[in-house]
Amino acid sequence: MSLLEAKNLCISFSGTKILYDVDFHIKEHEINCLCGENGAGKSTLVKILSGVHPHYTGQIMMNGKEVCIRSPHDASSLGIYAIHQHRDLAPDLNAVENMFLCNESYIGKGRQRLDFATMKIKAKELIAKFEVDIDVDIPVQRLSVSEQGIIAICKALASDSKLLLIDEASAPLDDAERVTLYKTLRLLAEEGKGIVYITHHLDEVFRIGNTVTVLRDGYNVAKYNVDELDKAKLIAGMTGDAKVYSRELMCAGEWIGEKVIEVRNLYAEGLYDISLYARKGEILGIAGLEGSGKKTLALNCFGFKKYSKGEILKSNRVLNLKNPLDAIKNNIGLVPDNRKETGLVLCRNISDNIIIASINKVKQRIVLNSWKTNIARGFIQQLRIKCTSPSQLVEYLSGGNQQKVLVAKWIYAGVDVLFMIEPTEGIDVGARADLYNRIREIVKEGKTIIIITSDIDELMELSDRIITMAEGRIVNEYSIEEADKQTILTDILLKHKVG
Amino acid sequence: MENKAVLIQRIKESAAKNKLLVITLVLFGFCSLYNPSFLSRLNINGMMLSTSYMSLLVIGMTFVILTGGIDLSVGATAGLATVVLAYGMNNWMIANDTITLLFSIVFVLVISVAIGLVNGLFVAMLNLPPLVVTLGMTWVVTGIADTIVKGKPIPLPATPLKAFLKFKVFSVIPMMLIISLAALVLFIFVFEKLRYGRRFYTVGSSKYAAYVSGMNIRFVLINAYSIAGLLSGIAGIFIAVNLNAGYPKAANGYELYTIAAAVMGGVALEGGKGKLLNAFYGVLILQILKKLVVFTGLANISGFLEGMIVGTILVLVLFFNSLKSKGNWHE
Repeated sequence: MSLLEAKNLCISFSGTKILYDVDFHIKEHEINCLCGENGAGKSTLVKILSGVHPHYTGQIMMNGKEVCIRSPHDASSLGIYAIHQHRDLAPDLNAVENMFLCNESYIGKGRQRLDFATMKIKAKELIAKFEVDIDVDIPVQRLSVSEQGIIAICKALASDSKLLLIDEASAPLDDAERVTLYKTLRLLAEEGKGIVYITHHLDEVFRIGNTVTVLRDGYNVAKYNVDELDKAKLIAGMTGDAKVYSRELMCAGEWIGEKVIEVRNLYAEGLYDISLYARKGEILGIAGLEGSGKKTLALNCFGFKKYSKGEILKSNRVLNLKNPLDAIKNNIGLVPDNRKETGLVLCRNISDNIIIASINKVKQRIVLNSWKTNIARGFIQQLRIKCTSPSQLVEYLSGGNQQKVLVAKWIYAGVDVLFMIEPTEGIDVGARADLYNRIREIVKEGKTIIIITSDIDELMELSDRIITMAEGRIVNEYSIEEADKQTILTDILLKHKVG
Repeated sequence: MENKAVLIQRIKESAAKNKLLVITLVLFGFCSLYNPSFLSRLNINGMMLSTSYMSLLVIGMTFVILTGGIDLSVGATAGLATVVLAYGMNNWMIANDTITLLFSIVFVLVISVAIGLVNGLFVAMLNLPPLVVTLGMTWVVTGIADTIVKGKPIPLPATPLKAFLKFKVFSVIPMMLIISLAALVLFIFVFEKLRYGRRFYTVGSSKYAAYVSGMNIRFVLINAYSIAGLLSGIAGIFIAVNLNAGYPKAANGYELYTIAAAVMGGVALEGGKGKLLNAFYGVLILQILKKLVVFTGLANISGFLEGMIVGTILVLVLFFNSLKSKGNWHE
């Protein structure tokens, strides 16, 4: 009998459907690895099962009985515990309190007086399994990332749940700690628990998994037993049949000119010996997973972070970027991945958002409404931004149009190198195609665009050249003619070291 | 010799742990040496009385600030409590005086919890910013109190309550202070040892972590504001006894004073951090600082110097605290 069985799970967020009729089941003693590309819906599935997303539809059965999971409290009383991708520890509390949050030991029968001594002993026992020495008396925010990762895993172990959902818990751990994690998980499975394990490291799948469930774009693909599977088959399952690209290779190179930006032997936190260049009129794609250093690279080029060694050149001149203002002065722009929080000023209108990066370059001392409205009108026409008027608040634009406003902002600021991190995250298919067309037009005018994403279809469709990154290093470089989705995915997935 | 060195080492360590206590003692010592009349019965008694209601207010404020909120309405609530108490004892006649008194007290407590509860409901259920909710509540509450008194303070009749609260244990310590200190000890125990108290830290530290761990965040928030309301009601009763009157502005500005004391004691405004005992030391330090201005003769230069000096010192304390964690725009 299945420990947990879910049927026809659907969920959508503000009208965009994320999961389509997903079925999922897991037995006792089973370690099920959940695989899929970024955005396939793995984390969403885990969040539904752990009660974080209560507005799902579909049926969930636990031990053959139908259950409703509408809050994390429901989940934990059913014996489901999740470690989420972003560490769910309270930063100001110490390790002991975090590990036993809502699962405390008490003195006496009142279930009120906390028994810190007992909890501390239990905590130390759990931590000792990982053969590390962690100070359990200081707030967890002062621990290192890997120590916090261990605490999060220990919290799951302390919960004594029947079903553990583990979303990328191994990412911050080093090799020895990973081995311990695998051992611990196997022991738990032997005890009769079910474990759902999400990972990007395919090696991990074969090391600890019994079964593999593959998701793609919110759909179920299949459930395999690990012994009937190899890496190639798994990757094929994750990527689907090779797509036929609608793109006519627009005789790339016709308008591509000399090198505009060049990075030479750059070292920074999480980056090792990065060298790359982009030419005028070129779309350069950088593929990599979260944590591969692709985002750090962009932030370094935008003066947001300080690199320790190496140099960044613009038109053969070495730049000294101390802050984003330096980058803007050198005509480098950045469209960040979290556009609502770090890109746009949501509570201002379109024209304000367009002139925001060039306000220092404006000659006039007084900013006239009519003047900025005119500028905005130009861009609305050029980029086909769908809106009621230039004075509409960007908060109310759709994702694709918000992204266009960001592009307009940098064009108006006169940048000629534009970094775009995950440019189509959370944007639906139709708007995507439109945004791609606009990006191509901009490039024809002699701008350089560097797209940084984990969406490989996007890179295949847009870029002239693709660089793959993993573990803070550049793996390979492909021209678009020789690029192939499977090789790229293999590059970014498999070049991760696994212990 | 060695023993001495060990002793000094121990003293140094415990001083580093209780920095605020040391500051309090040093300030106290300085004032007493500078002007012996600082130790006069009148002054010490006055300081003990005000400490008793300020520490009640700071307990409530600590609850709210720990959850990451703020409560500006505690001063107004305490003011309304003084008014309702005085009005009730003067105007309601139920059976005999004692029952009237008890009824008035219970009524005051119910009203103050209700005010806190409404604050809590708005913050927890509707997700409104606490600053605005409690600011609005301040005006509403002061308006109600003003309507009751119609401009004139209401005198508080002589009752057993007054005699009890002002009774001096060992003919030195007012009963009021003993009650407050007992409350302080009780709530320190709640914050440090009970599941109930730790919840406020968790919610203030990370609402997400609290949520995914299965905690009822709304319950915690509503509790914080209700307790702040209740304690400001009790503080209001103390203030009324102290002033011998009910007056809407009796506790005017005390909310900012308690926030300052809590922050001085290391209770972080973003929530999740800080100890109640240190907030209490914050109250003592602010009290002594105010007196310091008077007893060192600075007030003779200008009576208005008091606020300026206390304010400057408060900002300086925050400045030195912030040196530890420098601001970072990146994250």
